[in-house]
Amino acid sequence: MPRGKCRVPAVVALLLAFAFLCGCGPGTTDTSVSAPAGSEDTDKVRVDLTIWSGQYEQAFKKVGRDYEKLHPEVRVVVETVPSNFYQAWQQTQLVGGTAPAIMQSHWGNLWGKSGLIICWDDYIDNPNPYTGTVWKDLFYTENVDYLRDEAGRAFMLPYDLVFTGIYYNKTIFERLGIDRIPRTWSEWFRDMDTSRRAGIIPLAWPGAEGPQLEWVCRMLFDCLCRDKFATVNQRRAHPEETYPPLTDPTHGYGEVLDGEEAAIAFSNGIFDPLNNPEFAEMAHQLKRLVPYLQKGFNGADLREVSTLFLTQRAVMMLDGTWNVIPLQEDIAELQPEDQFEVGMFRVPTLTTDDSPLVDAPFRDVGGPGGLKFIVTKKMAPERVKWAVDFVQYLTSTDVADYVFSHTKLIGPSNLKNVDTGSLFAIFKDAPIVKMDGYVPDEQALDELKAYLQPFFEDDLTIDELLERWHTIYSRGTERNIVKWEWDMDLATLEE
Amino acid sequence: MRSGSRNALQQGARGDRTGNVSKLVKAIGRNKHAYLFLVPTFLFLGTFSYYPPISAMIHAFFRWDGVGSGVFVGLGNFRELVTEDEFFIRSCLNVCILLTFNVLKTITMPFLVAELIYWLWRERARYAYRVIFILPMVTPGIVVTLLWKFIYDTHIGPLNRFLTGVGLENLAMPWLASTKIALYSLAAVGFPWAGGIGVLIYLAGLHNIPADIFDAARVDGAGWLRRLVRIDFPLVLSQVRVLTVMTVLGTIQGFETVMIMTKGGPGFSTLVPGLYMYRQAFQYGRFGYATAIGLLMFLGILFFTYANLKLVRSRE
Repeated sequence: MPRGKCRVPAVVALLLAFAFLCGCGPGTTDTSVSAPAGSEDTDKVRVDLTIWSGQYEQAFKKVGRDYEKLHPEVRVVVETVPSNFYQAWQQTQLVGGTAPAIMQSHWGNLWGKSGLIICWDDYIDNPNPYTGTVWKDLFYTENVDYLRDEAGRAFMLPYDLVFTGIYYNKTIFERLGIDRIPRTWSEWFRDMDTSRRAGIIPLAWPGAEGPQLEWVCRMLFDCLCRDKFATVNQRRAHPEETYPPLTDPTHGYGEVLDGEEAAIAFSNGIFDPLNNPEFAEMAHQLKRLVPYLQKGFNGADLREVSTLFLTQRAVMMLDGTWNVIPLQEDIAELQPEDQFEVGMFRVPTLTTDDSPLVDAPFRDVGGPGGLKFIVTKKMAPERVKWAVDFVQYLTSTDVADYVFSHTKLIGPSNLKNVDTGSLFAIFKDAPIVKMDGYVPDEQALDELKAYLQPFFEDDLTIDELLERWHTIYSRGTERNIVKWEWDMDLATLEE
Repeated sequence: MRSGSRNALQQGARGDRTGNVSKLVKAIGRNKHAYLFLVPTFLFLGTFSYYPPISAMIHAFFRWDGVGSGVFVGLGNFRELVTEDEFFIRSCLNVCILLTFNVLKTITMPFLVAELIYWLWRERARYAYRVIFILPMVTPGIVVTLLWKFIYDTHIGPLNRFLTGVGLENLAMPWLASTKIALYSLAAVGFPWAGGIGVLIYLAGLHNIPADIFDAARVDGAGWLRRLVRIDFPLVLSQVRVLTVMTVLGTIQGFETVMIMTKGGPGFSTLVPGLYMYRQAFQYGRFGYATAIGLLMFLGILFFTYANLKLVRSRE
């Protein structure tokens, strides 16, 4: 073969290999502004929004098109990414410099600490160009503040709220003669006894899932340890704000106990499971629920629990507001004779009748747990500007009104002027648990759950449980001290 | 040897080496286009097959959250794993129990099925049964796992319904929800463990046994059991070795079944190191710690594989 002809395929192969490997190389900051090559809009600024709450997708796409008409130089791309592995996906995208401009995220404070996303404080005190008012005045700002990191920075902007409560079968309640919703733990247990006597599972419980146990633990801890918070909550991240005191049982919002405060409380023995009877009381109250749960609850997942509820073998289940609409849809698909009316009530509170250690009534687990916006920092400043502008557009009253009225809602809106109707009315002004102090981090929570389950099966005594709880807390606190580089001094804030 | 002649030899050897290198360079130069075509393969191999495990081995000695370069902690991750982490230790015990069951399942049932198929008289029947036992392999693993999860369901699962239906309701239990039996329920997944690649491999092994050995056994008066134990099984030991290695690898590395069916619970009764590693990395952001678990798993696989090879070789 002539040499010249032989060179051509070799060079082509090398170029192809080089081009392919370039795509596999370490990420660099995406400084490009325009839409992807090959699209018709290469001269336009690309503002891409990625969410996992797919119910918003169509509404966002519609308002995205409206936004493009307002700003022809911008191209809006809305995409839903499956929630499995979303955190890992988001992390790699952000670190690799290829992240979408706007994303839904629960982990904004983690990314913010690494300098990967913008801080909303640089923007929310300015007017929103689409309403003319100060941007933050459009929000229930207490929910923005709730998400601030230890240094008081806001990296996440909450769009909606979620709450947790007890779903109940109204039809069975009526049949059993239960004519009013239980308000206290005692009333609740009385109703569950009635249900059990009738041969119906009182409460379907997804023991294989984490959140439900966590919610009840948080409520119990908040209720039993409220008297300790004034001592523990030494640092005020926002001294200029005047929230009601933490000990006020009726307030909805307030200061958040941060991780370093909890770690110091543990080190001082205030939050130590071995020293404080409140931890044993939590375990005891949780175990009181066991006789009312379905057989095999420790291994049940949400699907199993929903099946028990939908087939009317269970009369109650604990879940979040995000299930209101899916549940109604599922019931509507049942045969007419199998359909029933479903209602929701807030988790009844523990009172001093149930435990002498009760300090205050239950508060709800909920708040900004759904769609929270973050904006990528590692991209061209012009894209950052347009990304922020698009979020301002999405949160302007008219646009948000459209979005919330054209979406299967998962909870109420976090925008003051947007009414989500009567659907979530029971959670209006609901006081929210702000204190996480019974475990130091997510790993510790999983470990506690792993010990609580044999405790529920009587394979672990209360003393063994508390000993292990102490170890979990201790290891988790050590992890946090190293991870967040805490100096265990509340006078300083670590960056 | 005198120093002069040693020098001469050394120079000669060096000259030989230089000559070899220059020959190699010339040979590469002559075939440079062929080598250029090979370059992408080696680049891909290095990037995707060698770089990740090497990187993991290095990061096992770091406190690393997946962002940035991490902080060197020496053997800190390993010390924490083996001295403080009860969950990791329990996960290792669990995987050992699963491994025992899985190896036994791999060695016994597929071998017996292969025997039955091999000794069928009619070739047509042999072919039909081979297809019947192999066909389930085309079902995706995830479907099989979900099916078993349904079978074990406490309230609507066919297993408990069957037991209740035949009057054995006291035996109906939460198969995946009790800390006492969940691991054994997982081990029983796939019952009667008769199909799959194992049958094919054993069949191939049986086909390779010369017919005159069977004839000699028959002449010597060996019954089917003696033939099975004394002839068939020893002569398929290399197949046993392959299958055992595959089972060891699959059991230690795999965690999909556990993740889908029990998520490692209840408690930590079904937690396995693979799942624990996954959680540490992707749930808790402790990538350095997770890679340390991965490295220990690798050593575990190495140990079991080596032990198996040694054991089977000595039997052979």
